[in-house]
This record gives sequence, C-alpha cells and structure tokens, in this order.
Amino acid sequence: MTPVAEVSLPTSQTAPSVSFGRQALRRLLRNPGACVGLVVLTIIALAAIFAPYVATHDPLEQRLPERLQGPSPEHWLGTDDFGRDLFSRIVYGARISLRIGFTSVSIALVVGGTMGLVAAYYGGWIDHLLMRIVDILLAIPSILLAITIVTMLGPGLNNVMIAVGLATVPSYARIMRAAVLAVRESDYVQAAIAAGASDLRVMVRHILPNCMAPIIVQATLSLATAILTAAGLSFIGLGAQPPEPEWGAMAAQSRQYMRQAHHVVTFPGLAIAITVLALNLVGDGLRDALDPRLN
Amino acid sequence: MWRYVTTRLLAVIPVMFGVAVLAFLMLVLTPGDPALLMLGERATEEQLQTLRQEMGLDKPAYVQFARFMANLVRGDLGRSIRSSRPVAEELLARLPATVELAVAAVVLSVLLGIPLGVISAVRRGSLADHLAMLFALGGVAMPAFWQGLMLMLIFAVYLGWLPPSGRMGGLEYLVLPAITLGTRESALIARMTRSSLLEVIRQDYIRTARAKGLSERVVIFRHALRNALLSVVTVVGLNFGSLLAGVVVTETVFSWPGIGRFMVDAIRAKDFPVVQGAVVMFGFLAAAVNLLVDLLYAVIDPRIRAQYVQGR
Repeated sequence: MTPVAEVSLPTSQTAPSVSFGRQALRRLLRNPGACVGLVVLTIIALAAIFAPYVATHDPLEQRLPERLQGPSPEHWLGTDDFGRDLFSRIVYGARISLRIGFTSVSIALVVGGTMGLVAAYYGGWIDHLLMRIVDILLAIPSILLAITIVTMLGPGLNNVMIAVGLATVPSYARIMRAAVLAVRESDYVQAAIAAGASDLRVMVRHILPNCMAPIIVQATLSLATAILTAAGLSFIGLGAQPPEPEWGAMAAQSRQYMRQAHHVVTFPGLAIAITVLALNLVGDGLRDALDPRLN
Repeated sequence: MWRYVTTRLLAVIPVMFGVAVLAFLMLVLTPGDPALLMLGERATEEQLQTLRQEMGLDKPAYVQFARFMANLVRGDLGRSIRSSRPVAEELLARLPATVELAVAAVVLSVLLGIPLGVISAVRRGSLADHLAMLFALGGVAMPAFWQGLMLMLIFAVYLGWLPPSGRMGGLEYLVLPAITLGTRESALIARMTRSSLLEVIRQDYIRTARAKGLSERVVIFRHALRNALLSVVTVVGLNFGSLLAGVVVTETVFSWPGIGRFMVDAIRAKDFPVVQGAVVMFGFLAAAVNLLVDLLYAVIDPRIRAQYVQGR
C-alpha cells in the first residue's frame, strides 16, 4: 500500500496544479495592466539580451567634442559629459539592472526560502530561533541593512547585489514559512512522511512546489525594489563604479551637468521608472491571478 | 493597557540589540585592517597603533563587543575619525534636520495619500480613480534621487520658485525634499486607503448606516474611513523604516544637513565610528516609531485594548 500511496501522490498533485497554472495565466492575461507590464518587460529584456545589436554606439567610447549634445538622429537620446552615446549606455544599463534584480532576488530566495522552509518544517526551537532572528532583521530598514553590508564589503556592483539580496532575506523567510505552514499538515505531505520519504524529499518534492505562488509574487515585486535600491546605492556612490553604464550611477555622475543638459539625468531615471513600473504591474497582476480570493 | 505597553516596550530590546550587533559586525567583518582603512595608506605605524588601541581593535572580538555594548548603553558611540568629536554629539546635532524632514514627509504623504485613496474608493472606476491609481503606481516606481533632481530642475532651476538645496531656515527649503521623500509613502497610503475603504464599504454596518438614511458624507467619513484608517496607520508605521532609509538619498540630493548625508559622507571617508553610530541611530528611530504605532493602535482600536484587559 505504502509505495502505491507515494507513487500516486505526485500524479494526483500534478493534475490540479497544471490547471491552476493555466487558470492563473488566463487571469493574468485578462489584466490589462499586467499585459502592458509584460510587453514592456519583454522589450527591456530583449534589448538587454541583444544589446550589442540594439545599441548604436559603443557604450564606453568617449567623444569629447560631442559631449552633452541633446537628442539627434546620430545620438537618439543625446550624449553624456564624456560624449558617450546615452541610448547605447541605457541599453547596456538594462543588462546591469536586470542582472542586479535577478541575482539579488535569487540570493534572497535561496537563503530566505531555505530559512522559512526549515523553520516551518521542523518547528520547535529551530523555528523559534530562526524567526526571532528574522523579526529583528525585519525591524531594521532593509536599505539600511544593505548600506551596512556594502560598507562592510566595499563599493561595487557585485557587493551591491549581495547586499540587496541579503537585506531582503527576512521577508522571504517569513513568506516561505507562512506558505509552508499552510501545507505542512496537508494529507499528501503527511502521506509522504508516512511512506518513509526523507525530510529533504518531502520538503523539495512535496512542500516546495505547493508554496510557490506567494514566493513568485514576492520575487516579482522585489525585483523592482532591488533595482530601485541598487540604483539608489549607486547614486550615493556605493554601487556600480564609473564607467559602468548602470542607470543610477549614470544619473549620479552627470548630475552636475543637469542645468546645461537635463537629458543626462532624465533618461537614465526614466529607464529605471519604466522598468520598475512594468515589474510592479506584472507583480500586482500575478498576485491577483494566483490568489483569486483577492478579486 | 499597561500590560500591552510593557510587552511592546520589551519587544524593542531585542531589536536594538540586533541593530547594535549589526553595527558592531560592520567593523569586525570588514576585510583588511580597519585602522589602515580608516587612516589610509599614508598613516604611520604609530598612528595606526594609537587608533587600534583607542578603538580596542587590538583586542579579541568578544572583548571589543563587550566594550562596544557597554559604551553604547552609556550613549558613547566613539569619536569621529575625521573631526575627532564624539559621534553621539555629531549625530545629535544633525538629528533635528532629519526628524524635520521625515515628519514633513509623513504629514505630506498622509495629507495627500488619504484624500486620494478616499476619492478613488468612493468613485471607483471613474477617471479620478484611474488618475489617483496612476499616481500611486508612478509614485512607487520613481527612484527618489531622480524625482528629487527633476523637482529641483523644474521648481528651482527653470521656475526659480524654490531654493535648489540646503537648509537655511525657511520652510521653502523643506518643500522639495519633503515632496521627494513623501511621494512613495503617499502612493502607498493612497493604495492602502482605497483597498481598505472598499473592504469596509462592503460591511453590514455600512449598509445599516446607509439604510438609516445618513448622508453619504457621514457614512464615508464617520463610519467607513475611521475603520479603514487602521490599516493606513499600519502602512505609515511599517514604511517609516524605508522612509528613514530614503532620508539617506534625499538628504544627499538636496544637501540637507541631516544624519543621512552625514552617514554617506562618513562611508566615503571610511569614518567607521560615524557609520556605526548612524546605523544605531536609524535603527533606534525606526524601533521608536514602530513602538509609537503599536501604542497608537491600542488608542484607536478598542479591540486591542480589550484583548489585554481580558487577558489579565
């Protein structure tokens, strides 16, 4: 009986989860805001992937005689204080911003998700200890945590990704714990335990796939926050260093020329705002799609 | 009620301990010799040795930690490497500027966010609703530093209506930094007010109020909004931490002489005692506001008071 129960579990779980996924996708695509967000994100992602083909100039090439020029057919978004083509720098900047977003969210997801999963699965003193640490960290503003970590590690893009990721670990731990607690006592989890599945297998194969909805929503929304935080850190000089075409750093480096040529600040900032807006639209749409009760 | 207050007060202790540990770890976990980092390559061995002794860097980590905590309890945050003045004194001198900015931003965000949320909920689906929610979406998507620079460009450089930066005393200096810092918060408040008001409007007691023949104004403001404001208070409180963190960027953009800008300058100059002190100060402010919000709950929500009275 036991092996049968164990074998049949994934199948019985897979069928409804596929239809739920389809339903969620349908709900997502019926949301106009989310669709706009998806289209914008796709364009940004394609621009980032194919940056060498999309960019009209080398993003690092300096042409001092052409410095601080306004938008023109030659330089679509103008040039910066070193005569570098702003459009090309923004296109390459999309690579950096998306990398920051995905790397820091992955760090937060792996560390925070594991903490939440272990805390909720084992319960008892492990849960108590981990959650008290999380409570304390949650009470500290996350950007303050990030600033502290970057100060420790030193300025730079990689360190900013680590800092932003680690700073959001507590919220992932909380969300994952709540999601795991909701399925921990389900019959199929209990059946898997009774069938003798190892803790790791129960967590990874049976619990984790059923906890992904809130985590996906959180991940999408925190991609936006990560990009904003990293841009802010770059702006105050803790993130990407010159001449890297990171959007926040670009605005910071050129801000002294803002009076003569506002485009040097306007366009990098707009790029951040549009990306974050698109991510938030998709995140909100996903939340509504994955949790129909909210409608 | 006192039990509630005591419980909340005690909960601040572990948070402050966590903040202190974080501030301490910042120095200990920094790769390389902190004394060399702070004084730079040109420092003589003698200067380095003096600093190590002064800050206790030559002692084992646990001794350093005990010393750090003991000093912290006494309000001693060490001395700034750059100015040689006590860090606590330096921070306290800049605290009023930061508090002024943060309070102005919160007031502004409440004054803007709540009416926007109410209009949006009451006229659901209308143009006003769409515009308000567009503002809410844009408000959270704009990077604060960029918004600040754009406001500066329009209202200070092009129109010349307001001073571009600094804090010379007049309220006009506060306007642009407060708008920059408060926009994100007001967007969040507008969204939260809208959604919680929509939730409350569906409740039976609102239907009863309407059935009694009360005017829509009374129904919304006296019956619905009061209950919806509970979640709004939560949002204001929970986001105060990120608002404080926003202070760091806003103060840098507008050369506002507060703790945030001081902290950024200290990070650039590797003045670790100041950075540690600023982290502790920000952590303390965030914890104090969270405590205040918790206490405010008990004042505005009789259910919380009742819980603790029954518990006794």
